[in-house]
Amino acid sequence: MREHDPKPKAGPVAKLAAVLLLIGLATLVAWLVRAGMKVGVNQGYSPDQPIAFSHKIHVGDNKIDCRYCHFGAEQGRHAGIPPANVCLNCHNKIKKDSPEIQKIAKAVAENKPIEWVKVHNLPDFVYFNHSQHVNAGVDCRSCHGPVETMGRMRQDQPLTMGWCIDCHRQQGIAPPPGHGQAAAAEFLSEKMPKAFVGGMDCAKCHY
Amino acid sequence: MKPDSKKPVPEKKAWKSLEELREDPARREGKADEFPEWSASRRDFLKLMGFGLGTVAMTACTRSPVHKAIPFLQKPEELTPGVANWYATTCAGCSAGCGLLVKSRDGRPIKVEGNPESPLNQGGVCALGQASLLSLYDGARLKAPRWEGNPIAWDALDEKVRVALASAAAEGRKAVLLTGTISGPSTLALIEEFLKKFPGSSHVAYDPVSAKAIREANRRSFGAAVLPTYRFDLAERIVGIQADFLGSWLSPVEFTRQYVSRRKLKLGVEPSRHVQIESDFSLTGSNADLRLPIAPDQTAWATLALLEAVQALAGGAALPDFPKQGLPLEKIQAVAKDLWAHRGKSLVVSGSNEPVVQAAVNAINALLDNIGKTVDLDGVSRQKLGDEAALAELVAAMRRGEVAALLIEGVNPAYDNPLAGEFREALKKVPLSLSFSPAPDETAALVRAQAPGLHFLEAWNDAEPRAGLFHLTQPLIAPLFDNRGFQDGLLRWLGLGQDFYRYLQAHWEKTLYPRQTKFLSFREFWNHSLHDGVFRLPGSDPQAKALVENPVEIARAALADPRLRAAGAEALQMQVYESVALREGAAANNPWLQELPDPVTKVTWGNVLKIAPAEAARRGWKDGDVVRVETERGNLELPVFLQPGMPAKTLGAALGYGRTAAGKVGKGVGADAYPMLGYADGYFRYAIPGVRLAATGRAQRVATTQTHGSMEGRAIVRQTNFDEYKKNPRAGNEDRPKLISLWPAWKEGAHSWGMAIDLNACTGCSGCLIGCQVENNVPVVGAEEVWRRREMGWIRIDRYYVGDAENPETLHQPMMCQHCGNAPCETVCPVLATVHSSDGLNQQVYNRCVGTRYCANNCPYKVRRFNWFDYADNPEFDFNLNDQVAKLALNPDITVRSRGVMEKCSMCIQRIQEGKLQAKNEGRALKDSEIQMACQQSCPGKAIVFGDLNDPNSEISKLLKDERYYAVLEELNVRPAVGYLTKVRNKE
Repeated sequence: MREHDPKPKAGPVAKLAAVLLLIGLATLVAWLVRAGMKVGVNQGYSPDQPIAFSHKIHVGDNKIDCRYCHFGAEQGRHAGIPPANVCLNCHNKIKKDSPEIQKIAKAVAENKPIEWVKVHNLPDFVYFNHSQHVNAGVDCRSCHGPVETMGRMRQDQPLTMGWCIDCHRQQGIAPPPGHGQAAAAEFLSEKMPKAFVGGMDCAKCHY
Repeated sequence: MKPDSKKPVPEKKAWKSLEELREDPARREGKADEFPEWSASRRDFLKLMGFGLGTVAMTACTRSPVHKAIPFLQKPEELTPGVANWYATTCAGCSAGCGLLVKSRDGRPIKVEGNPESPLNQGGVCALGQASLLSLYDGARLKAPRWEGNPIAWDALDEKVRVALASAAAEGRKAVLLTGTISGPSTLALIEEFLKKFPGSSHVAYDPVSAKAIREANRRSFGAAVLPTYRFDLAERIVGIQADFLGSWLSPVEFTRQYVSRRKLKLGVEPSRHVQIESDFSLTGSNADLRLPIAPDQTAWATLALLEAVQALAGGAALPDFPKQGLPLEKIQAVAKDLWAHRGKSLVVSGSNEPVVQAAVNAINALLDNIGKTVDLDGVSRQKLGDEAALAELVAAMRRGEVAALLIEGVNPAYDNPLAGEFREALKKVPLSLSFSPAPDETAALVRAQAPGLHFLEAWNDAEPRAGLFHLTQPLIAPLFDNRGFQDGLLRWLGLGQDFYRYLQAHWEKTLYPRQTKFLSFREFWNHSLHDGVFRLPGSDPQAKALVENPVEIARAALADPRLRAAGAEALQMQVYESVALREGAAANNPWLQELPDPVTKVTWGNVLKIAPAEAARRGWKDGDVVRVETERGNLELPVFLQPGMPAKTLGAALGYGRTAAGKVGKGVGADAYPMLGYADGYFRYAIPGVRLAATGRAQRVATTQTHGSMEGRAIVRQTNFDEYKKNPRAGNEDRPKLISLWPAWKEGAHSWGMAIDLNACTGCSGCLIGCQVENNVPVVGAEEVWRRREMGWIRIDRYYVGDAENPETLHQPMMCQHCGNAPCETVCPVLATVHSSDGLNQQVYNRCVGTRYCANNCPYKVRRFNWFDYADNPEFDFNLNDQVAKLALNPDITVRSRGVMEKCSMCIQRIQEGKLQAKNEGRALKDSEIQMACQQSCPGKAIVFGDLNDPNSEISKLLKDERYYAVLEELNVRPAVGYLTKVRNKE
């Protein structure tokens, strides 16, 4: 088609500027989208705690089982923060004079509960239960990261729905170690496809 | 776009406002701007873009709020955060005393269920009992003791009461403890001690809805003034005369369980036949195989007619002639013949509070050889022990100034009886009046001292609902407010330094522990009884008893009673009854109960004047027209409600409404019918003669949840008769469509959940509605929104009428999401907010829902409910979800839905998940019927069965093969997972 009113041609500098501007805009948009997807995702969150408790010392160095303190993990939805009496089971003997440990003793003496800052916050409106994962043999570290190296607790994984679903897509449901006798044998004998047990149903977690 | 102003205006146009009609120039100018053209400049566009980008970027930078995690310092051993504990206790919702299991999460009770160990209710529990949970968390409760309206310390109050009691005893004036029925042996023992300590004091107990006439008649007939226990489960023929035994009479959950066990079809067993003779259209009447409507003044004569017919069959002496006009004599004689053919396996009960009527009923049961079989006078009921004559005497003594101290517990005498007006006057002459009521009521508003007691979920107590059957009450939570149990008050004033818990334990150790042989230490016995909630002494088999009074004498006594004289066919009369939801009215501040539709009328939020449609038409009245009911004892204004099945000249009105002091929810809802009741010769009377009606010209919106009672020719509820069923088990359920599908069958997962509801076992009692509401955080919306048909209940009970409007047959059908295999809702959701699960459920995902409501439009069962508003924390909906205390009753596992979201029955997905999880954690497969829906659990008749269709041996799989099984609107090929079993009546 013939151009009736040809415009003056742009110089190479202007062309370059336009391309750069476009690239810049595209980058901005991409960055915004990425940032937008991370709204409410607190991966790496590692707040200060009222007591400088170190998982590295307890889990890494002294090899204490997670479930000694987080005994709720096998029983119900909350793994739970250990009550002060659990801390004092050991610490009424060990390192009694540490100022951090004295904070615990003081809390008990004053009957004032310790207000820990919650690190792992799931999104709203989702039901999660620790026991069904722990009892199925899921390693605590798959969701909580290398806790044994953390001086101060840190959220290692994104804890988004996509992250939950990714795992459920990959993992079959295996019989939990130490279980699977008699009645369980039939039901849990082989690795069942995850769709079969409904691991992807919305209402498994949202109700 | 600009409207074309040159277009001619048509002559007759529709108008939206008066300004438009007047063609106001100001308005016309405005009209031009109705759709202004918006032309954005390039700069505006860039500004907006920039603003948008900036907002997104800034949102991305925000930090999530900091959450605290606060563990116990010393964790109680039995408590794991997030794991529910269950405790056995006893219901105090009414005087029946059913055993309960209460779910406690993190230290607060959140759900009331029936205790399967209790021989009374065996796991079921009524709407009132389940809703009593919310009364615990009622923010309107009295929160501390008061003296003459001013706060006072407990110690100071105790001192004042002690002084008053001591001076009353010294002056020889009376101190009276006024209560409702108390069946608990420990409390009764304590009251005994109290009376001994203060000479001249007495204990007066009355029941707002009295059963005194039954006890009095039994004294006359059998020499024992007791309330018998009834065995509806052993009765092949049942006749109820003015007794709503499935809805409100004496022990409705127990009776429903027994009744239904004889109505469920078992191989080769004929279900019971039930005849109901009544004036009001009750829940029980709606279940009858034959319902005979009579006017209230015909009660005695209808009973005598039945007695006469039975007496004739027994070959006894003829009765003297009595008025028989208007009675369905032929039908009564046929009923008598049927009863006679089932001697020893039949049961006649009456809810009348006329001793002579009850005496006639006794004579019928004795002639039918039912005493000691279906009527047990040995293992007697202790559920209603009150005597209204004692209340009348008390009021007289108060008026004479003889009563120095009046302590009121468990009743509301300034409201809940026909003597309330006299009581209020007489109360002014009592120097020390004290109320133990834990919640505001008409009496607590008038007394000098308020010593608020405890809700039963906060208290220790016991009950003996039946002789030899003991229930324990244990606290689920520490008292929420600065309240104290009434027994603790008595102990304090007695000068005994112990609390009632110790007293209770000591009483059990002293009286019950020695009477058992199973346990070797009291500790063990106590722990066991506390765990089970129930302790039973071995009883003896009931014995037959000889009738003392002759039927002829009973008839003579009836004829001699001037008040039993028939008023004539043209006279208007009123039958006042207990509603299924509120009963006597103590729980009026409970929004769950206020919004619970009446099982027959489906009316919520208030009482109505039930009237026969023909009578209303004659007077030109329609639903909602407010009329004035004029009686000798006063007037009452109520909206009219056209109720098919009401006798022509009979009106019906429910008690329990019109509270003037109850808290924000219950105050002023409906009208108070108590003042209309009669009191004469020592009996409350619930039938009111000589009623006149006057139109007021006003009308009121009546908030009903069902306005359409016809099935429009479709077989939605299927029913047949037993003789048909014997010939063909498929009777009534013949036309089941053959379903074909273009799509491959749904691939089933590990489970395929299904539900079946036995329409023979469902009485329509509505317990399931409250069960669902509590379990699933279903909001209350209020009368206005119910009137707009926006109630939120996930389960409803549809009530259909069949036959003529004079006396229709009634059908009840629980209806909730049918969890269709080919769900029409799923295909129309544009955002996939409602999808199918691998185990056959239709899921609603609130987070995805954008509120198009297409799904509700496309649902053939109309079971989807839309959140038109935020019902939580919204002052416009000032019910439990707008009350910081009442919100403690929320189920923490369930989302509180927000505005603009669709919701519906989730098939208690949280219970399914919990059950599956428990099985998984225990390394075993799920057992059949291990998972129970909330509606199913609460059902006194066990009409609902839920289970896995993949398991061929499950109960539900067997029911699916039953000839009676069908699905509603099956022809739509939506393949519901919920089905019903044809109702089989047993008509003559």
